[in-house]
Formats: sequence, C-alpha cells, structure tokens
Amino acid sequence: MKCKICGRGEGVEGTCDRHAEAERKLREHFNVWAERTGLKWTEYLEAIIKNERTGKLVKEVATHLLQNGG
Amino acid sequence: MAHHLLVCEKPSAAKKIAYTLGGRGVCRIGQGLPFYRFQKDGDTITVVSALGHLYSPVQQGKGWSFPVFNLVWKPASGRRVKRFLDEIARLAKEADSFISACDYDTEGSLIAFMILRNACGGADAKARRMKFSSLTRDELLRAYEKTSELDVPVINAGMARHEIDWIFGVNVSRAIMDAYSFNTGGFEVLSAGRIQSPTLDALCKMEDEIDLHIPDPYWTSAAEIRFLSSGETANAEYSKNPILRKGEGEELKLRCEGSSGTVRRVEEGELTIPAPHPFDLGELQREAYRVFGFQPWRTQKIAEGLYLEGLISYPRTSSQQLPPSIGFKGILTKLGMNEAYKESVSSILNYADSGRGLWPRQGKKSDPAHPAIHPTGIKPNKLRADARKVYDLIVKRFISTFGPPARKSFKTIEVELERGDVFKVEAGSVSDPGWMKHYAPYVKIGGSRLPEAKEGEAARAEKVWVEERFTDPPPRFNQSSLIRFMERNGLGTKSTRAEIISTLYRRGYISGSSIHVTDLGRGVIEMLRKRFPDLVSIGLTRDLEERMEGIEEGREAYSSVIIRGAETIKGAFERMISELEAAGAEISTLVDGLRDQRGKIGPCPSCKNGYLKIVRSRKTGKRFVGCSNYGAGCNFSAPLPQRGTIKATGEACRACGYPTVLVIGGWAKPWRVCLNPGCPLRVKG
Repeated sequence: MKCKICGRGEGVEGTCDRHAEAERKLREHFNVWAERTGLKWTEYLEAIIKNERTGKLVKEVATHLLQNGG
Repeated sequence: MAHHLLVCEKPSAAKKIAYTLGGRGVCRIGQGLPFYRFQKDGDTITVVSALGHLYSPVQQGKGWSFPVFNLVWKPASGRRVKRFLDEIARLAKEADSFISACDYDTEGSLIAFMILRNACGGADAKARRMKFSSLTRDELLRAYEKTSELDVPVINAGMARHEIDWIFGVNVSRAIMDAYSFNTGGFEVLSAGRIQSPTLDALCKMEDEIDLHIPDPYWTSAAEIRFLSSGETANAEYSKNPILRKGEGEELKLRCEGSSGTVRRVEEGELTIPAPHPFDLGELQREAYRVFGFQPWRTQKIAEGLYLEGLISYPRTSSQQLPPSIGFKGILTKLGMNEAYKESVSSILNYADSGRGLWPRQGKKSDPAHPAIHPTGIKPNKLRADARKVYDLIVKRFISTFGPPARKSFKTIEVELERGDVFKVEAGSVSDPGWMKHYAPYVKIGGSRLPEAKEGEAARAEKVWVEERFTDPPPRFNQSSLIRFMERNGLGTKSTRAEIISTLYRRGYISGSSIHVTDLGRGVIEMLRKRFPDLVSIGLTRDLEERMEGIEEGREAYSSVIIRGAETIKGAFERMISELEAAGAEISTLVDGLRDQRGKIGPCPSCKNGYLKIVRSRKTGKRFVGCSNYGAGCNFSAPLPQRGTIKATGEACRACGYPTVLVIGGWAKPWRVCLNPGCPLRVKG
C-alpha cells in the first residue's frame, strides 16, 4: 500500500516509514506541548504547522491529520 | 659525469625546481611540453613534469559487467597525457639516474613511481626521492643533495587507496546503473563511492533529523535592572532560564516588574586565552570559510598556488606543529621586511628576547611528512586578491602562534529581587590582547562594559520581559563543517575531502551552501542502505583507512587490504544480483520521477488538461516541447533552442499566457522564451 501522504514507499498503516516516524514523534511531543502551553490536539497541530522550525515531514503529517479531522 | 632525470608533479613545480636548482644556467627546451636542462657539479640534470596522475587503474580486458576485480594501471586517456609520456620516455633513455621530485606525500610518491616504472623502463628500482616541504632554495638544495630511497610503503598505501576506491566506485556505480537499465532499458549516470556514499549518508541522516524536528516551546526572561547608587542600567538574565511553563513566565513578569532588590554578589575574574596553533589544511579551510566565505576546494587550490610560488610550505598536511628546523627566526626576520608585518614581527622578537624564547604554540595533530602550514618568508610579488587574503591569513596565524596569551576580564553581578527571584548581568572584554593584535582583523578584540556595583547596594527591576522560544533543529552542514565531520570520522584524506564534496554537488546529490540533500541523493542513499549497507557504513570506511595507514607504517600488507576490500564488495554483490529486478524498480521509479519533474514545463495551453514536457525527436534527435496528452490526441508542439539547459520558470507569459522557459548557456546571459511561436514578446528577457 502506497503512503497516503507522499504516495511513495510502503508502510504498515498506510504511511511510509518516514511519515510513520514523523507521526510517532508528533504524538510523543504533544505531551510536552500540552504540559507547557495547555493547547488541545488540533490547536497543537495548527501551531506546529505554523512554526518555521518544524521539519518538513512533521508538517506534512500534521496537515494530513488536520485535514482528516485529527 | 651523470645524467639525472628529475620527475616533478606539475609543470609549474618543474619550472620552479629547475630554476631554483639551476639558476641562470637553465635551458628551457620545447614549447607545449617544456622540460628544463642544466649542469650542476659536472652532472647534467633534466627536469620533466607530469600532469598530476598520468596513470590510473582500469579494467583489464573489455566488457561491461560487475563485479569486476581485474584491474591494471594504464595511462590516463587523452592525447596530452600520451604526449607527456612519450616525451618522458624519450628523455629517460638519455638518463642514467632518476629522482622523484613530486610533492612529498602519498599521491606525489605514487605519481612519480608509476612514471618511473612504466614510462622510464622500470627505473623505480634505482630511483631516489627528494623530500621537501617548501619550494625554497635552501630546502630544495638540501633535498637534492640528500636524496633517499623511494618510500615504498607510502607508494603501496597510495596504490591500495586507488585500487580499493576503483573496486568500490566502479562496481557499485555499475550495479546501480545496470539495475536501472535492466528495468527500463535506458541509461542514467549514477555514482557511488567508498567515501562519497558514507558522506552522503551522514548528510541524509542530518536531513532526516531536520525533517523530523518538532520545536518544543520554552520561555526565557530578562530584566532591565537599575543600580540606584550610580543610576546606570543593564540588562540581566533570569537565573532559572529556561522556563518550562507558559503560566510561570507570566507570573514572573507580574511578580518582578517594578520590584526592588539588592546586589547579592559581584564577581570579577580574568581568563587566559592561549595563542592559536598553526594551520593544518582542514583548519586553514575552516578559517578561510569563516573569515572570507571561501569554499574548502577554493582555499586548497589557492594554498597550492602559494606553495608553487614558494611563498608557503606544503599545504596538504595534517600537522599543527612547527619544528625548529624550519628556522623560526629566519622566517620571521624575512616577514618583518614586509611593511604589513613589520610591527608584529618586531613585537614578537622583543617578546622572545624578554626571556620567553621563540617558541610557537603547537597543536595536537602531527604529520610525519610535513610541518604545519607556514610562510617561507619570501616576499610575494603580485598576488590575486583571493590569494593575497589567504596568504595574509597564513602569515598572521604563523606570527600569532609565537605571541603571548591574551587576557579577558569578566564580571558577573547578581541581583536578588524582593520575592527571591535572581537576575544576573554578565559581560566581558579583552583586557590584554596579547597574540590577538597580531591576528587582527581575523579575531575580534572588544567586549562590553558593566556598570559599577557593590554587594548590598539597592537596585530595581524597571522592566521585565518574557520571550517565547522554540528548540531549534540541528544546523545544516556547510562545506566547512562537513570537512570537519569527515576529518573526525576518518572519511577521506586531507587532499581528497574537498574534491569529494564537489563530486556530490556535480552529481546533483546535494545543493546549496547550507547543504540540502536532493531527492536524487536521498533515493540513491536509500537504495544503497538497503542493498549495500556496508558501503554507507562509516565503520567500514574507517577500518579500510586505518588499514591503508597501516600499509604506510609497515603494519599491514598491501595485498591483505585489497583482498579485504574485494571480499566486502563481493558479498554485497551476491545479494544484489539476486535482487537486481527489485533494485532496478526502485531506482527507475526514482530516476523517472525526477526526470518527469525536471521535464515538466507547465500546463498545456491547447488541451488544458495535459502538461507540456521536453521531448526529443527519434528521427532528428532534436528537442522540442510536446503535450503529455499526445497519445490522447493533443498535437501541441513548440520549438526549443537546441543548445543550453532548459529550465521551467513556472511563470506564464505576460502577453499571451503560454508557459515560459529559461535557456541557460555558457555563451550568453540566461534568457526567457515564451513557448508560443506567435507571441509578440519572444525577445530576450
């Protein structure tokens, strides 16, 4: 099955290895953000997309999650 | 009366060595391929030049296959190389004694050895070696009078390095090109190498970290503190930075702004900064990048030019140490005759006379063949602007190494506010520049001053601010930091690192001065990681480098190192051959995707749902623009210039709305072309 974000590679749950790793990190860091800022999940995704330091793959995953209802 | 044939590495070195040894009696013979002849102590000396490596490893026999391990050393291709070798062979017949006068390093030793063995009828058996670190008269005369035997272990190490690199580079490149061809029937130049691939792999890992970076928020606080006795103010940092909760920062601001406090502690101290050590090649490349923005390959080229002019010592060295045998005082005295360095030299000599002696600060790294890079003292006549800069940097660094340490004073003032929050003011300035004044303008001498304050005196936080910050991704490599990374990880040699980085750029695997890995570079590495994990392993490369150093030091046998390299690659190929189809599919998806991306010009103005792409006519071989819907009936086409690179601009023509392309050629400024043959604006843009 092709990655639903980049259309390349193959992965177990519909994303390639690199996007799967980005999603894992994105979920892991939500705890840090929630504790420090009190943001909710969708607010967190929006903040991550807006931040210029965010990595390309993480931005792609966050955008995909946001467009698909988180 | 003997006839000596001196073999030099480059034409400029041959000229310099000939005129330095022979003086006015030198006779230059020939035009395109000059050689030099003169008499010395009753002997005839002929000085000839190579053009760098005239021999290289090639496949024994014909055919394209892999794995291939049968290699032979043959003359490099090209008519110029053949003419050089014919001339050397002719002159060798007149000589009865042979001397290698190539640069004293692995490559130089190998260049001369190959010429002596192959073009001079096996003269390597009786040849002698001149060993020198600079092209100055004294050193060349000494090297000529005290020649030694050829440095066979060094030559073997050089041969092993070239052969291993050939086995890795040729086989892996052929494997990935074959895999692509197997799958598509097409051809694409793709390459991999023993040093190139682990370097690219490291760049990809860094790119991964950047792509996966999540910036975590944190806050820092600072305050403007007024010292009430003097009325002076200074900015102070909160002592418990970073703050890890947004609310905490807001509370701190409310609590501290406008509140009073006292100076809790004042601490003053002094720091000693020792003189810098002299340059090895890597350090020179990094420093030239820092102060002038020169890319490492450019600095290396300039430094090699300065060496050939006799102005500096041999630059391809890993030594950061200067032995007294180079004559510190003599060099400094000669440099002192140059108005630009007169004052610094006189100050250094006075410092030495005051009882400290004339001793440079030595670095940790050493090189058995050459000392650290240093000026020879010869005054430059006319240098290009960039060479003048590098020369000045080397001279000032050399002088500074003899200088006294610099001293920096620092001061810290801690202020405790009413509720126990502490803010700290810190500053420092150079109190005694020491060696720094000899290295200016390449080092900053200055600092900031702090207000006078005494412990117990009253203070107030006039303003408090809290800033939101985010953790940064790791910095991208630039050419300078990549050289340092390669050095630390034993990737390549001091002479090859800059060239390997240039190859990565040329192949289109990396781009930009702040290095980005391209999709092509990533695709190649992902395939190599999967199919040839050993090839991207820093461990394997380092192991082979250590073994090659072992050959040079007599610890390892040349043949065992070659066998180890060949065995490594053979194992990887056996796996690769069984998966050729799968590997080919991966590469072709990657290459075709990239070609597709590169070839796309813009939307088709005729059918509206296809896209325009560059097509080459099978009949005439000429290129033109066609529509991707050609098979579905769209016949749109537009002519293209046949020379130069075509790049899509992504912009529509302002007059007719058709897509435009940029034509980039060496003969003129890039120009913009509208793809509508009837467009009124089809002029240079």
